[in-house]
Amino acid sequence: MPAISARGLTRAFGERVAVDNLTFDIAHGEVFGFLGPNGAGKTTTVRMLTGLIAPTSGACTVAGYELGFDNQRIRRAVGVLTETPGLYDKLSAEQNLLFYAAIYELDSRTAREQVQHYLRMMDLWDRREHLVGTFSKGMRQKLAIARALLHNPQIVFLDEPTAGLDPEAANVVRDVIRSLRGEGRTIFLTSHNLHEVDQLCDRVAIFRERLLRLDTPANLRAGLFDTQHLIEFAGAAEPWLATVRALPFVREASVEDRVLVISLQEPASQKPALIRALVEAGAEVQNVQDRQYSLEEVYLQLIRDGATAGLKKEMS
Amino acid sequence: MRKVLAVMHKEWLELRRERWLVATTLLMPVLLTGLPFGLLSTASASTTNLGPIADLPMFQGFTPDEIVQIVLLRQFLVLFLLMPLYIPSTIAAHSIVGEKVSRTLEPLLAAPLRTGEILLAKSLIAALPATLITWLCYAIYSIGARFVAISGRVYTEVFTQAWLLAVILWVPALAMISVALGVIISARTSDPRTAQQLTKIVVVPLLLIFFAQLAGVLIIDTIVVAGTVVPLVLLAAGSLVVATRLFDRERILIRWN
Ligand SMILES: Nc1ncnc2c1ncn2[C@@H]1O[C@H](COP(=O)(O)OP(=O)(O)O)[C@@H](O)[C@H]1O
Ligand SMILES: [Mg+2]
Repeated sequence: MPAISARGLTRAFGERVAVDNLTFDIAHGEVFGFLGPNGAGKTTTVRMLTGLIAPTSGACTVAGYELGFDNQRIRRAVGVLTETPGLYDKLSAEQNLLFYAAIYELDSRTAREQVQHYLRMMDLWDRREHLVGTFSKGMRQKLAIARALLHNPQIVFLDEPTAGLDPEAANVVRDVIRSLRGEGRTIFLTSHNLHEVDQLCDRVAIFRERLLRLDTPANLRAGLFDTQHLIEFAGAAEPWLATVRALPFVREASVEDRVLVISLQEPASQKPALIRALVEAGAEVQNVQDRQYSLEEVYLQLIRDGATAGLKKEMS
Repeated sequence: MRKVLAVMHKEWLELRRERWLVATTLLMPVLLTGLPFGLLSTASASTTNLGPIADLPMFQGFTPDEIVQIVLLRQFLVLFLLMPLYIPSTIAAHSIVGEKVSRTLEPLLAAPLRTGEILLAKSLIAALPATLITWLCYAIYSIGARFVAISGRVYTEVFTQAWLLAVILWVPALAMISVALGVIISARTSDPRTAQQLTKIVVVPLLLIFFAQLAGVLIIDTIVVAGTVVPLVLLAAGSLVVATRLFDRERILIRWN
């Protein structure tokens, strides 16, 4: 059974649909990136999955429990870093954690051990008696993550854990996520930061109101566009344009910056034939390269397509 | 129960740092307790015309000055029933509305706490200090009155066992009712400020008792107190149950901004 399994999860606020027909499975131990721009519906999704708000329609199991029937058990089984850390400013770091340890019914010895463990892990042990009101944004975020982990949940939701942090603090938080991943926990990580999910996640869902794409970061990079081959010649590239266009397996060919840009029907098998044809025609091929798309280009393209699709839906 | 205690402990830690809230909440009862003594020191039969009240049968055998004192001292007793209604609504509204405003409510609702546990803890932490403060003020009032009363008869006429019983038993129940009503009102409004304001209307029914007593319609004796305690406690428990039912976790999370 997957750690999280969503089927047609939908949530509307009045007329406005924030999350539309979301379906996915997340395996145990998987780090699942949920990537989308501001207002995409990430927080709404996390709130539904953690039983904070009810879906308008659809069903979901989390940690084996049915959402809407067993929410109390779900809450006990998961840890959540909410969009805002939501710590008690007038309590010390330690008091904040001890309070939640009691809510999760840790006995007082385990509570103290866990609190110490996570305060040290987050490098906050020396500040444990300070009021959270005096903490920086990064310190708060780390403390809130510690709070989400106190009861050793197997599934952890992190809603934009690095949003608004300075680069250094964001890196510390990412290191924490890496070490959680090493512990085999299932992590649902929302982000609008592409590089973050690329670095940290096993699979990435690109989401904007609807699920636009769900795959591993490597497949996302490879799958969206045709691979393009860039061929450089000793002389000008234009004369060879006609040669390659005459080949039956070339789908598209153009010249950019003295370089021939070619898409093939089946890149892996037809590339040697392409080069052979050029050489046989007398071309002095100097360099052949495959164009690698960055995940960023993939993402921006998907988000743009998603937006136009949404627009078309609204107009029809 | 452990979770309820944990929430109460957390609330207590926070309240200790809310000096301003606590100070203003405590100031009102203390000022009110002092007020009657100021009035009593200037009031006598020659300055105060009680009109038809003085002719009520229960005042037979008292001198006009004694009647003035009895009426004044007795009037202020109702304050000690108003206090447990007024004080906890301020604290309770603060503790739920406050968590929403400071954004700590969402992680709390995401934790394995039942609505009933949250509300019970927050009600108790508001009702408890209100009850203690009211008892303290009543003690100050009754002791102080011993010194200003012009005769022992006046004192025993006002500070009856029935009133002592009423203050001991009614006050905690009234405090819980007030908190539960506050929660019910907050659950039904869409913004925290309105909730805080509306909570104050819980004092209205008490004003009715105030005027009923003033007009001599209502006489609070031991039987009245004993007979109303059980219904009041049931009402308190019932309001808390209704409050729990009406408290819509999702609505408070997403509507209040
Ligand atoms: N409480 C709410 N009431 C009405 N609309 C909401 C509410 N919360 C979110 N929305 C709408 O749902 C959409 C998704 O919001 P959200 O889930 O917060 O996005 P994200 O976390 O990806 O930035 C937004 O258009 C937002 O306006
Ligand atoms: Mg968000």
